Amino acid sequence: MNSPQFGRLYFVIIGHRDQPLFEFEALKQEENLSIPREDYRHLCQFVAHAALDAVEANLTGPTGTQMFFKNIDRFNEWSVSAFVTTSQIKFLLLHPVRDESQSALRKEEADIIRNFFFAVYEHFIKLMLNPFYELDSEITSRGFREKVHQSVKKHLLNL
Amino acid sequence: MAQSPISPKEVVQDCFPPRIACLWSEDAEEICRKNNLSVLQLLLPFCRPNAEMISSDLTNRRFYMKNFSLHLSTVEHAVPPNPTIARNLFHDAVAEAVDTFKPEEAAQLEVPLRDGTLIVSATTPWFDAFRDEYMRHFPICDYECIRDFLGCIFVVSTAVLDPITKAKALIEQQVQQQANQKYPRWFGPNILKFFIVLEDLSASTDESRVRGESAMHYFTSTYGEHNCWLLKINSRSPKDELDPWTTFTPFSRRRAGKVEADDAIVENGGDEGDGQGDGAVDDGPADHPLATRKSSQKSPSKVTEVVEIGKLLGQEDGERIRECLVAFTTKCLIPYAERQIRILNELIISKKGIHRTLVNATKKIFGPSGPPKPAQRASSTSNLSQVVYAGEAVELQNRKAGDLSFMFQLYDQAFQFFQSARRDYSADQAWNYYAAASEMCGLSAFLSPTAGFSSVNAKGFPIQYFEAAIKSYSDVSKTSPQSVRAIILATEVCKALHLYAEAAAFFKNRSPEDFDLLYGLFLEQAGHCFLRLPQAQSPRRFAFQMIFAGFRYFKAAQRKLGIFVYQLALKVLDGRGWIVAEDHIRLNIIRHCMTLRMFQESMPHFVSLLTGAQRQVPTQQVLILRDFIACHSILCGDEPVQQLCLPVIKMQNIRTVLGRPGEVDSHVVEVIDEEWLNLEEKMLETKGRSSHVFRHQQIVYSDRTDNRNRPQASVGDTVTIEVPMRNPIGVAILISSVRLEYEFHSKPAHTPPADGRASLEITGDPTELRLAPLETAPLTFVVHLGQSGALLITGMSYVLSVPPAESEAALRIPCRQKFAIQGARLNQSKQEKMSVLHGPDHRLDITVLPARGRLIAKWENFPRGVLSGQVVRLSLIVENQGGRPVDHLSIAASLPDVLVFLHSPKADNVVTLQIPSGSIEPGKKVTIIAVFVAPPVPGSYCLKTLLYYETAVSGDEKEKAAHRHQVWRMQHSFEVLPGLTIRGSLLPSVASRDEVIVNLQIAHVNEIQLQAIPLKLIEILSVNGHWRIDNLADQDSGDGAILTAEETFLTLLGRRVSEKLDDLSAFPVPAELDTSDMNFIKAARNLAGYISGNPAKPTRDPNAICLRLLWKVTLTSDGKPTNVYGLRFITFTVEQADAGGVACWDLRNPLLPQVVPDIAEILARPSNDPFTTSFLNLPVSAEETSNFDVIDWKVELPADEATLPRHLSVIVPLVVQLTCNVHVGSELADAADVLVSVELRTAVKCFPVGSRRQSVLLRQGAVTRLRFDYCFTASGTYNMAEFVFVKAVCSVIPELKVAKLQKPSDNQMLLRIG
Repeated sequence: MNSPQFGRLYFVIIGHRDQPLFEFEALKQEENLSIPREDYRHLCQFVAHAALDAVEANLTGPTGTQMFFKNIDRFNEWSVSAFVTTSQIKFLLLHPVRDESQSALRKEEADIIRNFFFAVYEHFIKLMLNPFYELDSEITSRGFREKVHQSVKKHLLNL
Repeated sequence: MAQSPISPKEVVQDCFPPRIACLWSEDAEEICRKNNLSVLQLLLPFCRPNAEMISSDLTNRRFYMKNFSLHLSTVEHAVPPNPTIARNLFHDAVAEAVDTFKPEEAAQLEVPLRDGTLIVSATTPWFDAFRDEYMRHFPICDYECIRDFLGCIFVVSTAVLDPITKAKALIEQQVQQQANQKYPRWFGPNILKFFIVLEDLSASTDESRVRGESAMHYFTSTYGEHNCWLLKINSRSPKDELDPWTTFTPFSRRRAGKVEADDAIVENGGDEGDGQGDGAVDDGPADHPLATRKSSQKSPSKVTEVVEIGKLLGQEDGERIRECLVAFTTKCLIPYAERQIRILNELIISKKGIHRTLVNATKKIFGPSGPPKPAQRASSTSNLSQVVYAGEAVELQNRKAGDLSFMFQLYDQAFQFFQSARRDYSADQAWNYYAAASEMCGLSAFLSPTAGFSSVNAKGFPIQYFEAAIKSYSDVSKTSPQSVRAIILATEVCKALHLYAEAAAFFKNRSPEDFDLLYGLFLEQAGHCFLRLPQAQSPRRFAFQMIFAGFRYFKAAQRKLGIFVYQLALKVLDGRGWIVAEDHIRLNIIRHCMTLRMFQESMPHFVSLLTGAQRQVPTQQVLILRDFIACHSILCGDEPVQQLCLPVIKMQNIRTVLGRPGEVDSHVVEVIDEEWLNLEEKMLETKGRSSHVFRHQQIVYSDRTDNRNRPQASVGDTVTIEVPMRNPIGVAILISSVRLEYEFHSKPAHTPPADGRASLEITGDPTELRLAPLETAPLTFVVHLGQSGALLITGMSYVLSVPPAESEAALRIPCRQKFAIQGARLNQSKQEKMSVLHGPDHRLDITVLPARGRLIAKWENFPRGVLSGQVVRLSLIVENQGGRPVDHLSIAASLPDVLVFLHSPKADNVVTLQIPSGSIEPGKKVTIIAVFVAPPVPGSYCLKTLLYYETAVSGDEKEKAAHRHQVWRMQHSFEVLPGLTIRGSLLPSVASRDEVIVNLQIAHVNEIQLQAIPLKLIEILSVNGHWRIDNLADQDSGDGAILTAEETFLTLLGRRVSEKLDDLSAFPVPAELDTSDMNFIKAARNLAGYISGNPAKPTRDPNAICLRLLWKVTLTSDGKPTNVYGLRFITFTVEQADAGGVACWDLRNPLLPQVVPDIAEILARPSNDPFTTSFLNLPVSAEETSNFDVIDWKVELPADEATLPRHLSVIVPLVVQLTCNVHVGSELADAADVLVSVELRTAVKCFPVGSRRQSVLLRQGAVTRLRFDYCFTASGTYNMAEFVFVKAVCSVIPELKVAKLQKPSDNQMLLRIG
């Protein structure tokens, strides 16, 4: 399996049955698409799915009351950060791992990701208030996708 | 990691048994050959002596040895095979274990998932096989002595004359080997020697017996009495029924068997690797040379060969061999080892005094203490790994003593030795030695009986020994086999102690390398570790590891194993919507299943891949489909495929139409709305057919209709079933040989179909359907019903084919799909609202009634666009397609005055149609003439007509009345375009009380379609016989033509007549009537009685003046003029208060006109009248809703009437006076400016000259005048209100933010041009 490229981001919202409700892949603008995206898609899903175990281990542990978990899992160059809503919906973000030398940036990174998660959480709450959205169903709202896209652009493109 | 049949302790112990070499003479071999065994094979099964063994340590503490075994091998075999061969052996061992693995028999592990339980097999025998195999072929290395030969067994026989000489030769051979060759390695210069003298009882003579005794005597005297044994074999007599070899169990049957296999490979068919050895390679463990019975039954071809094994060996022989080896172990080997340990210990102690203190002092002063730091090691790896000690080096003494202690299960003592060895090596920076010693330290600690580590006290276990060992090994060489062994052993220890997280870390620690099988096995074991984590079982991580393991297995060509682990991963991921990942797994499984021809296993995966969304590229989909078809044909032959939903049938959209396919498309009404239900209910009421439960009749059953009731068709009818299907994949597919599958139960049972027709005839249309990628198309079935009963359509079968790509055969596969339609969701009771329940759907469950009449009706010439009031002659064509005559035809329409059936009685909006012959016979057509009068108000209309009929009953035939009547619905939409408007006022006549003056104002308002086409007035007709009308206008009104935006004024005199006129009074508008219009004039008189115009004022009222204006338009289409006729009606009521005949006209203000609004205005006004409510949806323009005028304006007409010179035009100056009149009540209104723009319009006979538009700003109360010049080209009366537009914009008044048209007070400013 090829290792993932830096700069790729994969965001997924996961429901109560471990099913993905919403997937979003982001590329940095300067990135060229020389490597087909299809090769990564299943790997992204595998990594995110496997990271759920780590999220749940954190939830049952002493950190169980937290919402944001930074770098709970890691695969090759990817790091997984998670956010768990009060209704136990999980947001996962796969992002590239920083080198140890950039420790200053790493601290900043946690804030960036946290802000991103909270921005998406806000949109998600609004979506949940929509009477036509059923809990645990796939999110097909174009408006939501648009908003997540904006949040990615706003928060994560410097990541 | 997975369970194993052998406990971790046994695994570790089995890895390090005392190793003894074996040398024998040819004559000894000769004796064993009689049993088809080699000497080694003869001894091997007895290497695990059951007798209690006791070893004692340096302090003479005694330990019982458990699970003790010996490792015997020939000198040659001790040389490890080269790595490539070894890898092949590993692959074979794993493949073999996979082949014999039966998941259903294996122990199972249950892991809770989010929904449900994951059940995986708890054992992985392929890993055990690999582990055993890896340990067996582990290369010899310098860092340890535990795998060196402790001693050698020399086997001679009494068959030769001088066994002693033979023995001496063998000893010489061993000494040569030890001296000259690097491999095998021996424990020390002074090895243990043991002699076995074989005596063949089957061929023994007195002579040989004597030879044996003398040899024994020699060996006893030379080497000690415990170092030799006289072994008698081949004692079995032919009568001995008991087979001694079936009862014996080798300590590891497979391992013993594999020795043979390896012999054959290593030696390439050497002295003993004959046919026997080859057989073992081919057939695996079942062919252990001693496991005779089983294999003899299995392969008859080998019976002769196999039965011979051990044919001369009896039970007694087995006992003797066992006895021999027990004696060797207890009396010779263990004392030897204890002796060696003592010697080594003494050496160590004696050197300690000088060496230790010296070294320690140096180290304390100059060097670092304790275990080295990783960074230091990493930086100096290259030169540090070079430390190699000589065979008899002092540094190895600790290690050797430890190894001996370990082999003889003196683990505490071994730990002490290894510990001090480890310290020494660390000090010497001999990292490989250090790692090996650390590893052994860990193992000794684990096996130590005094520490007694188990899962309870696992936290205290010094796992760091293993960590250090693996780290040190890896630092020296990335891919060293030592580190692999260390990982295997460390994880076994972790497993015993339930330290699964640590075990997973050890497995995953292995960096990627080219040995995919090893990597895959490790990843798989890591995955199993995740399943057994005590606090948090992690099935999803397990799945992830399985994917990687599978990937490695596929790379290592272990396809079956790869498929197995992928399926495990799929169990976790399946049905959760991780579609991309799931497809990846399924694709891989299918690909490798196809390679292995495991078709059954791949079937379930095809279906989900083929019917899923557009996730694969088309070429891949074709490949998948091709594989599927190949797979299916192999498995099921020509049987149709049931589970493949390709193409996807849109079950919910299946339509059942009671009728033929062609005739029903556009006219058939599908959605039965409230209006239809009202019509039908009213119709039934009128016809006396209403029952207390009204149930409407349907022609179409689809997803938009209520399908709780079964469709009712009758014998002889045709039913059309439309099945829409979608091609979900990216390649075109073709379905052919389509057949509908059904169940038919005739009622009454076993009635032969009438007139010899089949009870059902089903034809598909088309029989072939080609679906482009992602296309949706319907397939139509036509069912002819020949017999009454119940027809249930269950599904369809077809042949699916994919058009062939170039140079490939077309794919064809028969398929079958069942129809399953979900009914509408129930929402009545509370329970239904709380849960999701669906009602039944009966659209495919057709009840076939006995033959009935069946009418199909349609309108001919039904217009789509008409002018308001236009009159069109229509014909209703009614055809009886049923098997019985019909009568009692009636019709009801949703718009009451639009359709007129002449000479047909009408009651309560239901028209009973008159049929010439009384009834319509089957197959006959009847045409009924109707007149369509377009509604006066422009807009879009939908005319719904319901045709009611009954099947004629002949004589005393009694049939169920419920099924006798039927209905047919017709629905047409049409557009009414504006044409003429008519409005008028009534003035009392001064001359007579019975006379009124009627002013009519008729305007041509269609500016779009009839922009340049004049509307011609034909006649004014009074339809009330109580009134006679005359034209009062003195001037010539021309030809009665009105152009766009023009108006005509007519003044009539209405005179009441005492006797009702037989003839309707009328007068033509133009001077001369066109003869072609006479027909219409006549028809209009016929129609007069049928249309009331305004239902509130019936035409028979003597006080009503009902006028009809007949008009026509000549349209030219294709160069041919066509006349379009129409009529407008207006009704006035003459007020007459008292019955005494005294007229009470209000004469005080005789000029106040009584304005009667146009009919259109009445209709536009909302009311409760059922007629007008149907127009409520008409758009009402904003001008009419708001009466908010801020500007009063009038046109100051010139004082004297302008006269028009002949054939010329006249320019009249017009002054428009504007008065601003803001009444808003806010203070701001005073300061507000109103922007007023005045614009003059152009008409055909008049147009503005000079400025056409002027704008001015006005304040509250301001008055201004604007002057325009207007040119008239024809004489007449002009209403200037139609030509002057005044618009106001005011920023303060919200309603006037946009320009608003200001109207003059009475909307009339007449200007006469003479």
